[in-house]
Amino acid sequence: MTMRRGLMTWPSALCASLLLLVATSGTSNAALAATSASATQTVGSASWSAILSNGTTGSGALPESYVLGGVKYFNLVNTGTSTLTPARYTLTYSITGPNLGIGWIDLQVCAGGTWNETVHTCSGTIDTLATTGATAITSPAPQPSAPGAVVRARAIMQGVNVTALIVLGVSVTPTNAGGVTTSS
Amino acid sequence: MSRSPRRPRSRFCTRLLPVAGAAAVGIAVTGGAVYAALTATAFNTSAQTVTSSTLSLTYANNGVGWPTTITNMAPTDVVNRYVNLTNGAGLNAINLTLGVADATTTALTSDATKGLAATVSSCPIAWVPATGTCVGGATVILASTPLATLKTTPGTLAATVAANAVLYLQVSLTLPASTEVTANGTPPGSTIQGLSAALTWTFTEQQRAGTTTNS
Repeated sequence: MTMRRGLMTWPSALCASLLLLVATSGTSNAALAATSASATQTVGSASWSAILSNGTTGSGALPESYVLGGVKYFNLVNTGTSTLTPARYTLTYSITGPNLGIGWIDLQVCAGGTWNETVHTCSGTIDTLATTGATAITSPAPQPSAPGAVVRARAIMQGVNVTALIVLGVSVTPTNAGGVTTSS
Repeated sequence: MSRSPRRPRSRFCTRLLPVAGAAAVGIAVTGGAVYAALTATAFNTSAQTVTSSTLSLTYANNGVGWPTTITNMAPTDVVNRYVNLTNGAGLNAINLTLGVADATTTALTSDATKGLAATVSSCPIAWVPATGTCVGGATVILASTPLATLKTTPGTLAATVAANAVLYLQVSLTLPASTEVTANGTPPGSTIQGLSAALTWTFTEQQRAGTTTNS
């Protein structure tokens, strides 16, 4: 009988200790805290992208291969959601063409005017964006600034007029020339 | 004369009844002694009033605030939003922090290098949201911190906040500079482009330390 009483005493003491511990830890967590949560703020990042295509829209992104005999016209399309300005983005054009012999190929746009694609003239100023074998030039050449905008470009064989296979490309990189702040 | 035969007494009556009776008498005497003791009490005739304080924190948009969607952020873009944060009239508070949660985690809030970052500045009076002007001089109270960090470790804005205090805050969100090249319309694999985050900003404060008052 005495032993049984003793055995019952230990669990009781243990329970009491546990309760004390719970009560103590509860005390330390009982300090008041206040929070204020905002409404959901939706933030989206832009995309910066341009392609050369032979259509009037963004389809048919290059690089693709073209059999070039003299002159061929393409579209330079802003397919991103960012406005491509020289201050914010650098556009880099590339053009390669194997088996050119002594000729070369230029990628050109008609700045301040339009192409006459029949007689191959420009009512403005011809700017060369890239040349085979040369380091690609960058903006501020005419570029499709607004999303969806299109600039008409052409690849033209210079020097010796032969048939060649060319590959065109364009890359867009944020210029990071200082932050643009929008306050509201 | 013959005597009627005597009934035999039960063992209970002969042995235990006297003992029980004596015990009952003893209890009665003892109990009587307790009830008979003198007792005196004293109490305040005017009730002591005790009230608990409150701790509350509320925010209000200043300008368009956080509910207005931010679109098309590009590297180095900074978008400022303005909120007024009020500590309630009850308690002074300590450890004011700002954390953020993103309902749809992308690189915007998981990439500590290319993802979004926040800076918090305080103004003595309300900001002018249209111009981002702080008359009286702004103080940066949270240096630029990636949201990837704020999601797990809220940033400390103030060690103490007085009751009734109003904090006029500018929360600047920026997409850090990066050199991500999109070639022929195809962004790199780990792109920061074309993503969306649904942010919930949470300010948190604790009550001031408990005090002992003598008077």
